[in-house]
Amino acid sequence: MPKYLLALVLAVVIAFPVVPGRADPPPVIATKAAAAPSVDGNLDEAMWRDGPWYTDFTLLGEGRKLAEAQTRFKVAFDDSHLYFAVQCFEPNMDKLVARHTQRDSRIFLDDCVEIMVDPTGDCTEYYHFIVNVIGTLYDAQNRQGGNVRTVEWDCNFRAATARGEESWTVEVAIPFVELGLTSRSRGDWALNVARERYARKELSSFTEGRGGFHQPTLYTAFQLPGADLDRYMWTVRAPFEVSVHMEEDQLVYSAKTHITNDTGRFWFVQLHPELIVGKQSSSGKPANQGLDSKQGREVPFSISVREQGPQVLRLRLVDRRDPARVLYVKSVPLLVTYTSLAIDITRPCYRDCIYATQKLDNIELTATSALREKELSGRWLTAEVYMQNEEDEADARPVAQAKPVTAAKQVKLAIPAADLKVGDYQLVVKLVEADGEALHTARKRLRKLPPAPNGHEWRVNENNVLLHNGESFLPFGWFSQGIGELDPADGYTAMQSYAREWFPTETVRGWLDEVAAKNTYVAFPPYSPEFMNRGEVLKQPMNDEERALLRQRVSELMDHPAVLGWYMFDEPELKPVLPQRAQELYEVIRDTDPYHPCIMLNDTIKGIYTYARGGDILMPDPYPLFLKGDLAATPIEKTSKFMEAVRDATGGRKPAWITPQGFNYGDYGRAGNRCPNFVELRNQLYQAVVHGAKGFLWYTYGQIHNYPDLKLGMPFLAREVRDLKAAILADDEPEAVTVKAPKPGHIHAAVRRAGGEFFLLAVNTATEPQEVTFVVKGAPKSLYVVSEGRKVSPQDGRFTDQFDLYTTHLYTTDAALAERESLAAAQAKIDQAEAARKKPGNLAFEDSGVRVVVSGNGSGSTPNRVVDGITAHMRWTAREPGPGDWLQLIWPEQVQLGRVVICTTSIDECEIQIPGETEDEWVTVGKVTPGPQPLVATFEPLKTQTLRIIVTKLREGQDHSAIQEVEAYAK
Amino acid sequence: MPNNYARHSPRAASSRSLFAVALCLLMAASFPLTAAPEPIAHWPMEKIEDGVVSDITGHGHDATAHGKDNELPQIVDGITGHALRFSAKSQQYLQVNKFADLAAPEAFTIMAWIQPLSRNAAYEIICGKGDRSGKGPWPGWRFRYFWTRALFQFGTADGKEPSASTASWTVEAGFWSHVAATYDGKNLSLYVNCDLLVTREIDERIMPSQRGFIIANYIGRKDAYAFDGIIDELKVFGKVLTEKEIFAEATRGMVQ
Repeated sequence: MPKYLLALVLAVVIAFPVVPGRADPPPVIATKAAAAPSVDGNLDEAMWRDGPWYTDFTLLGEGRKLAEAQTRFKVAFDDSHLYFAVQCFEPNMDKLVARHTQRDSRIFLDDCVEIMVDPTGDCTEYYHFIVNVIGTLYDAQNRQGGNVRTVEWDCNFRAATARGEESWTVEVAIPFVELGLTSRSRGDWALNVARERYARKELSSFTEGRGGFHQPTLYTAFQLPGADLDRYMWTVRAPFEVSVHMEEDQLVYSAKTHITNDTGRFWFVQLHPELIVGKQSSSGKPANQGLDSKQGREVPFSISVREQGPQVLRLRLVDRRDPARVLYVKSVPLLVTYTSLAIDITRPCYRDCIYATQKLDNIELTATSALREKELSGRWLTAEVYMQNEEDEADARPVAQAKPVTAAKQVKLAIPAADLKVGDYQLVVKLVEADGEALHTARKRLRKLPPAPNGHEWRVNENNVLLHNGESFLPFGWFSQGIGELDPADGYTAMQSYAREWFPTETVRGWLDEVAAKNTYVAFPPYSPEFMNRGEVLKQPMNDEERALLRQRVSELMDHPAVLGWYMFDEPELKPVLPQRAQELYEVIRDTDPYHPCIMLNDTIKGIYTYARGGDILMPDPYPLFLKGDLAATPIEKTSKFMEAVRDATGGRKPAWITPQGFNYGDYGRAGNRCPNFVELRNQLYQAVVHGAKGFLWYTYGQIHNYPDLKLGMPFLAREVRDLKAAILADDEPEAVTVKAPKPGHIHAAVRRAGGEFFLLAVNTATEPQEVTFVVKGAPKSLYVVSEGRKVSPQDGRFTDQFDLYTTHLYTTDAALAERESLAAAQAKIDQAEAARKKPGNLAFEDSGVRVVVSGNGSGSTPNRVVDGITAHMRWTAREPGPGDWLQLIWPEQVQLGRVVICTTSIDECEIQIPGETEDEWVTVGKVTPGPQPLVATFEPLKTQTLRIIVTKLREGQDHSAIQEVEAYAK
Repeated sequence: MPNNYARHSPRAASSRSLFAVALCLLMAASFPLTAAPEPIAHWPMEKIEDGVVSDITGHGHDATAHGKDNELPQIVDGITGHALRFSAKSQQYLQVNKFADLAAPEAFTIMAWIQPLSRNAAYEIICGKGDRSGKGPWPGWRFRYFWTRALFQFGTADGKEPSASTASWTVEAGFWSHVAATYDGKNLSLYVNCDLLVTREIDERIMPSQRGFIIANYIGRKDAYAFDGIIDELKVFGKVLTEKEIFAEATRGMVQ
């Protein structure tokens, strides 16, 4: 194990000793109910007298520490349902929070109970049910270990709540038929029951929650002894071979599914397909099937479409002998759209524009028809280019045209374009009869652009690489980078900035001048004080006034040389933004400013799909959420999953950039989190590279000074990426590498060739070291390992290397890269800076277990950082203006103190206090008076477990108390 | 003659108590009862007793079990109760001793649960009456499994051999399928798992065959067209059953 990893492990063990508390949770065993409960929220029915209560809920992110307000639950089942009885003890019943009444809304912000049921125990797919204190329901299907969530999944589950004097109760009935049981459901399931308490904020769960409740690998075993669930065990695949077409003036959705019988015996079944939009639905003809045990079969189905747009496909499998008896339900959210004739311009590949730096002999396009074969038979497809607005004119003549081709479902056409002049055109594709009469017509705008007026043309090429004036550009930088601190030597090339919509154009142009002076480029929101694009309007389509204001703002800024692109949305799925609006905003900018790309950032895989049309570049932020004393709350390969989702959502036609996690979520109040270390930063980076990322904007610069891994590690990575630019922007050589390893799925590897050099990029996402053998087609006989000062020697294309936890190795033939700065030296510098944070004798350093409690937190306040040994930057800021605020340090046990050092930029005077004899009494033991930084208070040494700094006077011109660091010494 | 099939009839079962009889009468008065069709022959394949597999209808179509070197079909788990596993290699089959009334009724339905062992390129006979030797005409009929299909074929007096077959992959080897054929002198229909898959208009008569009724093999050579797999609940009706009736017969006795 490398020294830096050993140091990490030791640091983790020392910093986060196991806190005594509850032992591992026992398996939960459901009892068989003699009769179904009434599901009224009251737990006084006979069936709830049986079976054990499960309790001892522990606090989220605090190991096994028990919650103050406890929760207990029981589970029962009958032939059709799983029943939960949950009792939430609450000393403050009058303070229960319940604001949400709409199903699937954010009811987890209310007092609520959450149930996570994994019916196979494989820890990858599970179902999530929430009931708030007033009985509002939320349900979702979670996949990929919790990485992917489908809230549109609606289960026919029932729940009711009741309130008592000291507790509130929930009763839940979940039909087995909704749980997607498979043959694996015959073994142990997995379960977690959690509670969100807002009477006093407390998040607790039955199984240990390290960074969130969505960690199925931590769920407890769940058993249903004596349950006969075989009849619910089916596999019904998501629809495939989908077609939306017209049949006798009726729009029809047709597809196939594949059904496998896992019940263990023969069944006569009927498949009932249904499309549901809101409360309306249309049904297809039921399809009969007889399926023996383990037999699978494709089943085609068709449904009349009531309306186009988003809807849910529900596939119900029923017993053919008793159709009221449902055996399986699968719900699939989908978007139903129909276009008789659609044009997809494939060359030029970007924005349907031919750029001045682009040489193009032919315009290439694909015409796709939803018409049936017999409607296409004997007909032709034509493609012509007209000057914009001229096609309808009687004497209009095309300026270019393709050779007509026989009509088919999908046809490729090419139009000579070498002689096309700069201009605004219309591409017109027609389905025509043999006599030339047009039956269907599709149109698309096509532009040939002049050189960018400001000399900065930004576009994307066929390989999804960003080009700046025709040259490849690799963006690497931070969100919210401080411009004043930008050092070209760090290797950063780009940045993102928020909040420019608050400032008038002239102010923004002044700020852009500063960015340009640093020879860098920035992506920022295109909105303005007149059009903030916030609040309720996000749920509406755009109106004409908004369009005009957006055009105006973009036009006023687009000529500035510092503009990299337009930052369209930050996690629009969490607001949520109407997808149509996101697309409209994009189209306005695309038409106004063809020279800068639009960037869309999503927080979820579903969001990537939903908002893929809202930008030219998709840049998700798949934060693994690194945990104190642990690895990450979600698997680190979340990065890869999100990159794959971008490729799948766009068919590989839009660039994937990434916003990796370069911060500590714990500083934003997420308990138990930490900052990623250097190895984890490099892992995220190259995972994304292997999966096709061509741009990297890390979140977020504001924490960089307080974490040596960020401050020293990120510039190293920026320079490494700069040196490997050609390989990072190159395409993969398909199927060029085979991996042999204990967990081969956790080795992410790609072979690339660039500039005449060979590259093999490989990342380990397993939670353990692996010995990996690579078999590489055409591998050179010797490869340098980038930044590691060593070589490997493939024999017949095969070599073996050791991958430690989350390690990345980059192999190349490029000798120059072998000479670059060393990874080990960078790690040593980080380790040195880490060690330097703790000053000798400082009893208030974070590893002492000291807790920081404050009177209130203002915007951006990070009170935990006042004991991290970094005397500037991140700080505690009081919520209220003026003196009187305080900050307490609480040690696990008494310490002897005689001197306190305070680093502050806002306080002139404060007092050092310890608890008095009564609960509210504080005794002042020392005072700080105005003086040079840092402020120091010395006093007669004393023993105490708690120390309070209360602010008595602020500095001139300061209105809020703020402290960057506190140190405490025995003398 | 004892009517053994009556033991399986819902009507007979309901006659076990006076109360049930009274209830039936009351229901009959309120709603006209549709009687379940009664088969001419029904071999549930539950057991082989003294080398005989019983026809439980009481019509006396008991079958004698045969096999090379006296190795008889094996009793295995069926779709309901037990079934008979026929080995082609051991040339196993059942020979129905009384068969005149199964010759070629003008309208009939034949059905069985089958589980072929493999996808065989040879015709495997589920049951049949009459052979196909010589130049023809070939009297009789054959109900077959062939390469994932069900197939029914008969001979006519003028030497024709009309047939109907389901599409490929409708009867998968290794899995249970319910197969049924109906013919009324005009339409030949084939059902798999109680779904009507094929109907052919054939305005012909089956040429009656005087030869025996064989289950799971050919009337002549026993090494050529033997069925290799499991057969359960083989039934012959003297009328064309509807899809609903076929479904009711196929599911009779199945675990709900």
